[in-house]
Amino acid sequence: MGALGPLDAAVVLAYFVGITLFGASFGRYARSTRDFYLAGQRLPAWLVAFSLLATTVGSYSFVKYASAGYRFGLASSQTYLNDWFWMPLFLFGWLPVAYRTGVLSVPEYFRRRFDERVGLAAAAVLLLYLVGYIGINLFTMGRALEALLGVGAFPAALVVVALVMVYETSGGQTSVVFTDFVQGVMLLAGGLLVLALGVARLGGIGGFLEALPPGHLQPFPPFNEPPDFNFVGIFWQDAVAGGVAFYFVNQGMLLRFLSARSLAEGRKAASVALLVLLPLGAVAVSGAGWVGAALEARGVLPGGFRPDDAFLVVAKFLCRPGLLGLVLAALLAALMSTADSLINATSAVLVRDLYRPCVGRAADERHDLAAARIGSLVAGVCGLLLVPVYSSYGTVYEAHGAFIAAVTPPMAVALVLAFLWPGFTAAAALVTLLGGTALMFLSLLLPGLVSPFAHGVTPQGYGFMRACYGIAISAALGVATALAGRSRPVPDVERLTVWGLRDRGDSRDGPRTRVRLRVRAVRADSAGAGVALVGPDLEEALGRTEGCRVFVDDARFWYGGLRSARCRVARATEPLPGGSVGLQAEVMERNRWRDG
Amino acid sequence: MTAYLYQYLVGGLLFAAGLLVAARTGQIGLRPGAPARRLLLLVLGFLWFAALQGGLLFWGR
Repeated sequence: MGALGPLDAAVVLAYFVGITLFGASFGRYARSTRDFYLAGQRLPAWLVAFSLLATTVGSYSFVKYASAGYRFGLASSQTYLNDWFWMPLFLFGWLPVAYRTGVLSVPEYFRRRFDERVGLAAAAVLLLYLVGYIGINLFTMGRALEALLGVGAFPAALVVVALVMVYETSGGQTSVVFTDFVQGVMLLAGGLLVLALGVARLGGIGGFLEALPPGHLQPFPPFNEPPDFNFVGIFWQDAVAGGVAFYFVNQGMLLRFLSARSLAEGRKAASVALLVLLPLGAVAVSGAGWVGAALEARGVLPGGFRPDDAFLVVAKFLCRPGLLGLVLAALLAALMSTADSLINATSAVLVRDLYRPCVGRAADERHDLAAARIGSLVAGVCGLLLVPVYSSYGTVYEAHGAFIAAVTPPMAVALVLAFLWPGFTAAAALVTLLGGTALMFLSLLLPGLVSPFAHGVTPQGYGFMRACYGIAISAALGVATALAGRSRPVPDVERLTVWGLRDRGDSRDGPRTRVRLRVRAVRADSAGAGVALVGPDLEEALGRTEGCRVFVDDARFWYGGLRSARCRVARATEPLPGGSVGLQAEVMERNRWRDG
Repeated sequence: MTAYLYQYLVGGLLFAAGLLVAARTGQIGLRPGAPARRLLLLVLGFLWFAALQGGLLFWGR
């Protein structure tokens, strides 16, 4: 198996087989499109948090940040440590608006907030972003496998996409999230393992810190140079444009947050992921580059390799047979966990925002579920076809940066203005989306347009600074159009913005009460599938009246909400044992709960 | 140091704008209970990253 020994090859093969079978085993949980895209909205915060980590860290992350870590040291962590600025607006702005309006995608929000035209324009821009993102992940994974296994980038990407398709089309979001958990643990373990082996080789933490080249302990690169990795470029591209694009606009992230069992769990997941898991992820993806630079400075590791190869060179140098297979499996885990999310997300946009509005037929759950699976296949194939395109486009970091900077600012600006400003009109949204995107592409032809926003970065670095230009120009277009045009009164428009939260609070949930109870099967004619029968004792403990919602979940946390039921409370007409809730036998069977 | 100040000044403006929106909609605030807890989490998160990167900046000179 190319440069890999038999033991490493066996580990990689075991990972491929294991993760595919594990993911496919959740097929029975996808009974509707809501299950396929939102995993039944029953996931706990810990599962969503790990899934966020796994989705954030793609295979390109290991290549890109190990390369940056090798060249610039700890400054490679800047991207992972600057997302918190958006959290007040995300956690208490966009996220509650999305929960409350019940939308599944940004284009769907735009359709309801404005009209069909804006929804379609948003779907087109979002698809560009998503399919391009899938292509970038497949491209970097293909390059990594090419270097390690000696197989071509395209055949390698083809095999991985085929395996992702097996489980993603089977269980949808449930498969994605549960495999993400395993993959998140693996990528953290793989990255941290390489770092730990390197530190040990250098004689411990003291030896590692001493061996680092001068300036490698700084958390930021120089302000505006070199053009391909400078502070201000990363700040505008990753923290500002990338941050809002990733948390607000990225369909994969939106579906992940909406898959949480409640708004509060979604917020908890985001907080844990950003405050704890992503800083750990920054260490995991950069660590190989840090120790690579230190080992080279000590003369232990021969230099002369390309920075983009730092992760693979260092991993090969430090890992014994078997361990290298584990590290490579971590790299593959990072790729697959991002690709599966993006494929699921792209399917949601294709089916709900393009196919359904165009076909205009009445909802048919079986047909829609089949369309969702076909949509996933289409998304995967489109991403795959982009691999040869990216192969001819500079370094990985530049390719990723140029793409994010060119496509996302208009969408990000339009969304933020839409949920913050009731006076932001459909015409203004359309001008922001289409005009902003056109001006972004115009700046590729006329780079001088970026120079007023360049902060002293030379034209070679405009790929990053284009984000600053894009945000400014899109915001100016949107605000000017909204102010110039006469605002057509839209009934209840405030309800679709963040200001609609003032009346009802930010949550659909009432006060939360947790009660430990036993489940009892009741006759089908006593309770419907969505009804939980309670006796007077529980009614008192819950402090709820008839008709209120309850979430009945298995107490064993490792089921991750899979064994659960969302019900409305009803008073039992027949006596129930104390501390018990009555559920329809079908609900009991579906969750494999035993009576009592 | 310039990078640190720039990041926490410009990023701080974004952060403050988000806090303002959350406060105006009644989701965070100083009154005891959930609003105060949420405000505390947001501010502590901001300080955690500011301290982490500030510490590295000072220690890594």
